[in-house]
Amino acid sequence: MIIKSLRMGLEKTLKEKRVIFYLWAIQAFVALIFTLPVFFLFRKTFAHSLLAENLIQGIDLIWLGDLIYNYQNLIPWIIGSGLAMILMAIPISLGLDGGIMGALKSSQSFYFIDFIKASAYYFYRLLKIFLLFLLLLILILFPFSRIFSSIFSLWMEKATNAWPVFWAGLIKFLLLLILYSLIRMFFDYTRLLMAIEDNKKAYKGVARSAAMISSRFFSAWAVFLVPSLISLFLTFIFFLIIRFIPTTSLLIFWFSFILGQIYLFLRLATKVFTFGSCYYFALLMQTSAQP
Amino acid sequence: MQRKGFFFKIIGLFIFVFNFLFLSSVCLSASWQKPAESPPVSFLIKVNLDPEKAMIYGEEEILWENRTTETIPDLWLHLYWNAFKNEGSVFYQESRAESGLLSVQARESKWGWIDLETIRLADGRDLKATFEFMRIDNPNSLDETVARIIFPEPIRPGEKAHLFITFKAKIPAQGMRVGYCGQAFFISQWYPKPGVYESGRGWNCHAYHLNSEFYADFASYRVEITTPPGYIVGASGKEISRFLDPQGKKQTVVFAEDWIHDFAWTAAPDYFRSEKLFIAEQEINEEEISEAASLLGLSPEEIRLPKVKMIFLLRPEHRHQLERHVRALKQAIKYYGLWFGPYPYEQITLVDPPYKSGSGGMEYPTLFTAGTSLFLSQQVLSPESVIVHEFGHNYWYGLVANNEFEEAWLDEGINTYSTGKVLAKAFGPAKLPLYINQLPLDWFFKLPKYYDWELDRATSLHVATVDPIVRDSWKFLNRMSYGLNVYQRASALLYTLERLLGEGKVLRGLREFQYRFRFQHPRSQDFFQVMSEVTGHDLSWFYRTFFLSAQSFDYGIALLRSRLKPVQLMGIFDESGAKKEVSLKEAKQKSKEEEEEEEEEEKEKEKEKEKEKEKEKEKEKEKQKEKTKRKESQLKPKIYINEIIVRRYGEARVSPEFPLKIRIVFEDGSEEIRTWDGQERWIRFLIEKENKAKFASVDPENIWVIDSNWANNSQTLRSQSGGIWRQAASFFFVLQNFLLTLAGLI
Repeated sequence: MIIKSLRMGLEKTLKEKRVIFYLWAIQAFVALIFTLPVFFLFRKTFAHSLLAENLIQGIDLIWLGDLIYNYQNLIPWIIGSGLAMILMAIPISLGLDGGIMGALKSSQSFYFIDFIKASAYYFYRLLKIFLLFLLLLILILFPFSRIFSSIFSLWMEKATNAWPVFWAGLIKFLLLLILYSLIRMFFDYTRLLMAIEDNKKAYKGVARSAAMISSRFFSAWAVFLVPSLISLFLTFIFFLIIRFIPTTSLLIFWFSFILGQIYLFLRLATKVFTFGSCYYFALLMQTSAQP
Repeated sequence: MQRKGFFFKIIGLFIFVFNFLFLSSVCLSASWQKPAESPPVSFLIKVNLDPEKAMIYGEEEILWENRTTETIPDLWLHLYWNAFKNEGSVFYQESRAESGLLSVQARESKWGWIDLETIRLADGRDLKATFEFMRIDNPNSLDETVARIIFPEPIRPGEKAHLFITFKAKIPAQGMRVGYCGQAFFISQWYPKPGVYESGRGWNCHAYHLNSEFYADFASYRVEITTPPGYIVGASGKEISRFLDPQGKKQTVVFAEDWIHDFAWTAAPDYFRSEKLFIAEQEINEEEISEAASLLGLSPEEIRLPKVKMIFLLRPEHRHQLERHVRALKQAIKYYGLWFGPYPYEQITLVDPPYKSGSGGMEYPTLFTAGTSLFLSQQVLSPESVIVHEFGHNYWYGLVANNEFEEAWLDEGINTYSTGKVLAKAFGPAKLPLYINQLPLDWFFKLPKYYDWELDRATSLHVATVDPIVRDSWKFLNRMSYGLNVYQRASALLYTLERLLGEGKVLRGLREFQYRFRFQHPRSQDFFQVMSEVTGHDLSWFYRTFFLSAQSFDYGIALLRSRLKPVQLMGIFDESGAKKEVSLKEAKQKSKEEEEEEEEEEKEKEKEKEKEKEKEKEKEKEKQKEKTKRKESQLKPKIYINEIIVRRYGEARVSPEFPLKIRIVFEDGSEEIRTWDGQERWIRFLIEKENKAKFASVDPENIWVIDSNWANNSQTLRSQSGGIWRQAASFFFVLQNFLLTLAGLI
């Protein structure tokens, strides 16, 4: 069932290239909105300065130092913008997830207008699920984080070198990551089941999801984890490649920028792949459960 | 023949040996060596470490000589560990005023203290009854880091006070610069130490402040350190003997050194100890010696360096990093030696201090602590930068022993500058030392490379107007202002001096300052006096403007404009004895024609360029066209008025002796240099030329490292967008990644 789900998820992802493009375009648009003030700030400061030549070479402490010093009064504004972006990103992300779910359910060509419609259609139930998810995260992740810290602190306090701190930090991070992935998986299946069953009731969705996962826990987790690991691997490869590309000339920089966009596109594809695989897993589970 | 050859070989060898010995003795007996006379103070200390209780028990014999012209009734002592005794100390009071990461939190069960049990004179008279704590830096505190005792008879000039003190002290677990972790100890500022008596000023003996280091007289030390057997002990000075007690339960290691002004030590059972030798002949080639000699205006023989024994005490988990430690220390000994004179002691000890002991990156005479991390990146100069810096303090603080309480910049600033120069010369640019869970971020992301002077400049901009550099360390607005002013801003100012006067002159000045004030306590004025003498420029304005006051320095191009000079002016003109009026319409018409002509000309030029590419055959014809055009333009030249306004945005000014250079580059590649004394708020330059200006820049060579805005130092007529698009695109990509990651998380 794992392989079948993943294969079906992959096939759907390859079919829905248009959806990946929508995801990319919408995220790029949001990023652009927040990039524009920075662009104008750069223009104001450097457009007529010889220091602009240094900008081509990449980040250096000379122009960066000047910029920070001259605009230090803008720091609250920058923090505010960052928070605004995060707040804005939440509904947008929920909307995009709704669009993906719509595409997964649709068997016909899925256009932008369908994407938007699906976003709107699933938005409210996704929001409810998100709020539940947030609550669960707070209730589980924070206490566990404290528990892990207190366990490790006993070890770290007795440490006479930095190794225990390193290992404790790493193990704690991995444990929290595993815990997070479990919670996240649970809610991903919940919203996908709600989409499959066209169910609007969040609690019912949660209960259905819990029942499904508990019956085939490791399979469900594997289907969720494989695409996530692919995404992680992609990131690793991208940063490895980008490390060896010298970006001191504009031409090479734009080349690496395009490479970056391809990487983002592939990451978005793995996102659709994750949703797709989990969707088909849930669907297959449901089919197999029927008499 | 063979015999004759042998004879000449013997003579040759004799001459070589004679020369070597003679030159060595001449070069190595110059003023860089320790003075022949004894220092004003001598200590004989026996200290016993009890690792289980984290206590030390000491017996101290102090011989203090009054070398002033004043009669002195008392003796003031530093009892530094009382800074960690309770929250009432000046140290913790100042720490509470700090916010965030810069504060030092008092922690339960981590306290440290020192108690004097007996204080006697050599003749047996007890002085304990006269003992009292002094709180001159903060009378409202409960500070016990400074105390005084009163002599039964005042000490007259030339007389000596001979004291015997017994003390016990609790080692603070994570004090500042002192501490322990498990069985590993780093012990500094641990013994009762007299302040410095200054003629006309009295005792200079300040409390242990959060933002301050130390000040003490030069002294002879003989310290006997007793620990459990098997402990590896390192200390200031040289080990002169070691012995086990008859039961074999304790070991004592004896260290001694003359003409140092502090003594620190460390003991742990698990140090990885390694000894290496710095041999100048192996580390420095002739080319490097010649280069340094010519920079300093000295002969190569005058800058030859002696051998130095290097002792490395590394934590066992860092033993694989020995090579990097050795290389860094060798580079430091080499360049500090070449530039500022030989290191005058036989030995230097590098300590990788105990984990969490709070004692990393600190200097003591002939011993310093570095500190490193589990993982190293080749591109990040850690631990190199800290090794070079802390070793450098043996010159700036150790030998030229300024008062760090009152003029901390004099060692920290000069040493930050010196460190930056050594790192740049020996290692080149480095990447930022940023870590996540001990892992260098450089392993994951591309971090920018930088030279130290760039970091000094970027960070010091923020405190230029907060505090002057020269002031008591605890009187800075906060720890940030103290650190950035005393280290980075002072260093950036020295880089400015270097660019203003030349690297050779500044290094010569520093070398002279080092030689003149070795084993002394100079003040800021002494530094500027020496620099003025050596460089031939009166630098008192530099001292006043940048060290005694807190002003921002910012000159910039406020305007660059090029416009066509009007062909016809409006108004009444005398022409052949008659008055001729040129109306607005006529003047405009003429100018318009001129402008149109210019536009056409530019269009034609562009067309011609295209044609050039397309039709190579027609090149010669076009050249002829060009020639005729040039002839025409010679007949009727178009003049542009290039207007440049330079402004002084900051309060600080340059000296008229060092006027600012303004460089204007024109479209034909020609350039003009103008100067401005920089005293007024602004100046306007009008340059009439047949070409438009391409750009104008003030301080085009970036001499003024402390200028708070280099972006406005130049102005181009046309905007440049390549770099801006690049950075905006990078930011855009970072945001896209952030949004995608966030979407993955929610």
